[in-house]
Amino acid sequence: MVKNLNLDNSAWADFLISKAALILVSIVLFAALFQLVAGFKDLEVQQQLDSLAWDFKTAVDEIGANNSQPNSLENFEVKEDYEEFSETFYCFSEKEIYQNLPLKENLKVYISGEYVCLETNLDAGLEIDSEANSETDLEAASETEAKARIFRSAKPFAFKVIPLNRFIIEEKLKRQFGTRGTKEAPLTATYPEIKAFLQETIPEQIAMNPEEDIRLKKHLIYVKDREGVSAFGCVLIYQ
Amino acid sequence: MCLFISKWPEIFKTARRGIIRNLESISRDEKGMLEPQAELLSTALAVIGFVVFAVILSQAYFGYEERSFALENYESSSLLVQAVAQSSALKAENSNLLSASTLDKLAGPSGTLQRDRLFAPFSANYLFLVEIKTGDGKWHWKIIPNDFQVNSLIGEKEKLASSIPVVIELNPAEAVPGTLTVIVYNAEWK
Repeated sequence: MVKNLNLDNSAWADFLISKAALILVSIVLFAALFQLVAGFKDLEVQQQLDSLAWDFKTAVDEIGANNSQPNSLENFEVKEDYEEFSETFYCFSEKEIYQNLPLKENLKVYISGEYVCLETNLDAGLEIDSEANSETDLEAASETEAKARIFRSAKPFAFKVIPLNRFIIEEKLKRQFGTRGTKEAPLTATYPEIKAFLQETIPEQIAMNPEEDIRLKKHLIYVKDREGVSAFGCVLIYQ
Repeated sequence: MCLFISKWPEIFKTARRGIIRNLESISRDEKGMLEPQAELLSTALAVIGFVVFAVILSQAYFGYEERSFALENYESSSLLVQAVAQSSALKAENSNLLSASTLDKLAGPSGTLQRDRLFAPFSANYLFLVEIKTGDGKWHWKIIPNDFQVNSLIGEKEKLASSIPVVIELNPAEAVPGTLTVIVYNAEWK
C-alpha cells in the first residue's frame, strides 16, 4: 500500500495547479491592497488641496460679506466712511496645510472672477503647460497630463471678484462707460450692462505666486440710475 | 526480558498488521480530501473580505459626495445670509430695520432695478433666492433674482437654507420680528 502511494504521481498536477492559483490570487490581492493605499495617498493630497482652496475662498468671501452693500440710493452720503475698505493680505506659504503639501514648490494658484483653482503636480519631472493655446500644444499638454499626477481643486467665490487692482479696473470702466465708477464719477450704465462688461473684461484666470502675499480689498463701484446713486461691492484680488 | 525476546516475532507481526490496517484506513478516509483545498477556501474568504471592505469604503465615499454640497456650502450660505441682511437695499429710509414697503417692491414685478442692486455684489455661481417671513406668518416675501429660472430648479436640485432673525418695519408705528432665509441651489457653474 505504502509502495503504491509512493508510486502514485497523479496528485502532482492538482497540487501544482492549486499552488499556482494561490500565488496568483495572492499577487492580485496584494496589488489591490497597494493600489488602495496609493489611492488613499492621492485622496489625501486632493483633500489638502481642497482645504487650501477652501481656506482662500472663505477669506475672500468674508471680505465680500463685510458690509457687502453699504451705500445705496439717497443715504449713501451718510455712510461715506465705508468708501475706502482696508487691504487684507493672504499668503498661501504661511498656511500649515501648504507647508505639509508634498512638492509644494509645484503648486500653482490661478484666480479668475468666478473661482480659485489650485493645481499641483506630484511628478516633478513632468511639467504641464497650462497656458497652451495651439491644438498641438493642447494635445501635448493633455498627453503629459495623463502621464503626470496632476491634482486640481477649484472653488467658486460667493461674492463678485475682480482679479485686478483698483486702477486697472477703474481705467477699464472709464474706457467703456466714460466714468471710473467712483463716488464722484458714477457709472451711468444699467446693472446688466455692467455685469456683462465685467464678465467680458475679467481675464479668464491669472496666475498668482503662492510664496508672495496676495492682496484682497473690498471695492465699491458706484452706479447712477433713474432712482439715484447706488454702489455695489466687489473683492479685488491682486499681487 | 526473556519472555519479551521469545514473543518478539508475534509482537512484530501484530504491530505490522496494525500499521498496514492504519495505512489502508488512511487511503480509504476521504475526509482528508478537503485538506489541500483549505488554503483555497481561506484565500477565497480573504478576497471576499477585501471586496466587502472596498464596497463599504466606496459607499462611505459616495455618501459623503452626495452630502458634500450642504457640508461645503454651509459657511458660504451663512455669509450670504449675513450679507443680504446687512444690505441697505432691504432697509427702510433712515432706519436699520427691514422695510415692508421696500420688500413689497423687491418681491413685486416692478422691482427689477431694486433686485439688480440687491444681487449685484454676489457671484453668479451661487444661485440663491431670499425669503422673508414675519414671526406670526402673516407676511411673506420671496425675492428672486431677475435671471433666475425658478421653475427649472424646484424639486430637482439639492438646496441649502440659512436663516437669520430680523426685525421688519411694517409701518412707521409697527415693527415685528421675523426671519430672513437664503436658499442656495446646487446649480452648475455659469
